[in-house]
Amino acid sequence: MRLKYLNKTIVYMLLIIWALLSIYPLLWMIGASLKDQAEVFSSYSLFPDNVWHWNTYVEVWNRIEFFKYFLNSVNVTFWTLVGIILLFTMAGFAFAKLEFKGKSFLFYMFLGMMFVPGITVLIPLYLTESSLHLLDSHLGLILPMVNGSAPIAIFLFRNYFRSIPHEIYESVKMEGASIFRILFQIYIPLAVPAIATITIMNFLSSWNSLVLPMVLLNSQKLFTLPLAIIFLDTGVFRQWNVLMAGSLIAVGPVILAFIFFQKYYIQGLSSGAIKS
Amino acid sequence: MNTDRFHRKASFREALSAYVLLAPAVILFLVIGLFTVLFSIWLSFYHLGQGSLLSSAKFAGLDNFKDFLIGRDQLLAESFWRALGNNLIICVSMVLLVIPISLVLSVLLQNITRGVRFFRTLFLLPMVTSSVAIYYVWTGIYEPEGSLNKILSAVGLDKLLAVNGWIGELHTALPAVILVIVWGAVPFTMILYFAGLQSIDQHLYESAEIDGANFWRKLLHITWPILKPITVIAIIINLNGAIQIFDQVWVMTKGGPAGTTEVVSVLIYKEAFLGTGDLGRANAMGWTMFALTFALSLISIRSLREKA
Repeated sequence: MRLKYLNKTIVYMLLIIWALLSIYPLLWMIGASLKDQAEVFSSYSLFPDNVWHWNTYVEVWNRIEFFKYFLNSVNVTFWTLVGIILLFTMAGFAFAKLEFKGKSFLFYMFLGMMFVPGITVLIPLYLTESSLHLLDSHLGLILPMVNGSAPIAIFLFRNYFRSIPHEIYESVKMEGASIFRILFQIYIPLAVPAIATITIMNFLSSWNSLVLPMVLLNSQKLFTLPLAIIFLDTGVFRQWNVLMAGSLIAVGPVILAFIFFQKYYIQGLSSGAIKS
Repeated sequence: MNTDRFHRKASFREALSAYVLLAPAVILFLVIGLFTVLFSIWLSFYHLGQGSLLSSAKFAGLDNFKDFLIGRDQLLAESFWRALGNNLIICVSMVLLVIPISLVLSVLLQNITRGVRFFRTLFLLPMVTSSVAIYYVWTGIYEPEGSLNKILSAVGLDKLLAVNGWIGELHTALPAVILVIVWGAVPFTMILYFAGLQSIDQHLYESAEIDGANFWRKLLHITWPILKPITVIAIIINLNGAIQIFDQVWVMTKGGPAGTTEVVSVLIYKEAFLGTGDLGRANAMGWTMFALTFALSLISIRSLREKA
């Protein structure tokens, strides 16, 4: 909505204020990671006054082998995303294009799960995984993460597949292609925008996930980045510079991904919520 | 006849492929979803100590619920109701702060011609960085020696300083945590509004102006009909988020000081996985929270229907 009488100066001032508020914590993180331990709170300046202590990063790396945790996060996030996309494009396609008994029952069964908060089933999940010997493994973390995104992913894929003109489906089917071929060779390639949306949405939540790994993982060697950061915080006093260097290693890839895929991100979020 | 049989055969094959396509998702759902939900309901009516075998669970009837709902266990009931109260305060803050801030920002953003992309990128950063890492930064900002106190004393507002840090004092801890929650929640809602505003055809305003419509009429008849459903969706999403808040509180305060920032998820986690709590009781609290989420969602969906 264009407002005629809004003063441009005021508009820009308000925008700049919120922009500073948005970026300040990130700058603080970068600044603190480069400061000397004693300088983090003593100095007024956001960045180190004299020496930039790049060796903090080396320290984080050496102290807790940060790269291991980084790879753990990559591993968990990657397989979670693969699981989500594979399982729910298939399910979404079945719901969008095929006729079968129990269709609406199954569909609402998946959607209904949306109402169950994660924390409600956290304890039985822990007990179930313990009896299935899935506890303390990455697989045990990936499975509930995939399952947790079922309602939204199935819903979005179903809607997306429905929006593709039905003539395509009919004509390929007439030529005798199997349903699996239609899905994997025609529909999934067409669904790249929807896949991008789902990927970005779930990349963030699985990369940042805290409570699930906290409950399901015990061995330090399996820790994901959020747990590794909390692990950096154990000790008599907080080493802010080290903690911030570790944090930046965790947040960095997300910011890079966001900057590169910003367009899809915004399109996905807004189309997902507004058109549904 | 022949074509009929062909169709029946085709539809059988179609159904079969559908089941094959759905099988992995359904199996995962049955084990990790449905089973844990049923298990969870069962567990709510049993006592089960931490680390004890499942076979040692003792039937508790409604005791688990009575413990925290009507104060059979006085201390736990106090913590529970305080935590629930905090969750509701967070819910109200989401509606009263996140929605208007997001709306204003998106309108402002629509009114500028230069730097839209630049501002949008910066505004979205809290959403992508919202995680353990950033919550530690906020902890640092709130420290007694942190930026917030430094800024306040620099502008001469020494009276407002939080001597023990903003999350260290009883009366400032919850507002400080809420500020972080709001900060992280604004970007998503703002993008929704921004996309909604972009979708309005500018010609509508022009022709309304020709018809002599004033600012308020245009707001009421053109802008609001687009923004209302977005507002409903934004409220549902923010309320659900507010009820499930965990990470922020866990990293910054663990519910302290003296329980002033405790939320239900954190209480459940502590009861179930720290100290000597009861898994059954923790689970019962989980289901109470489910009931709340469900009720809130139903109310929001009903109001969504009304607009149609």
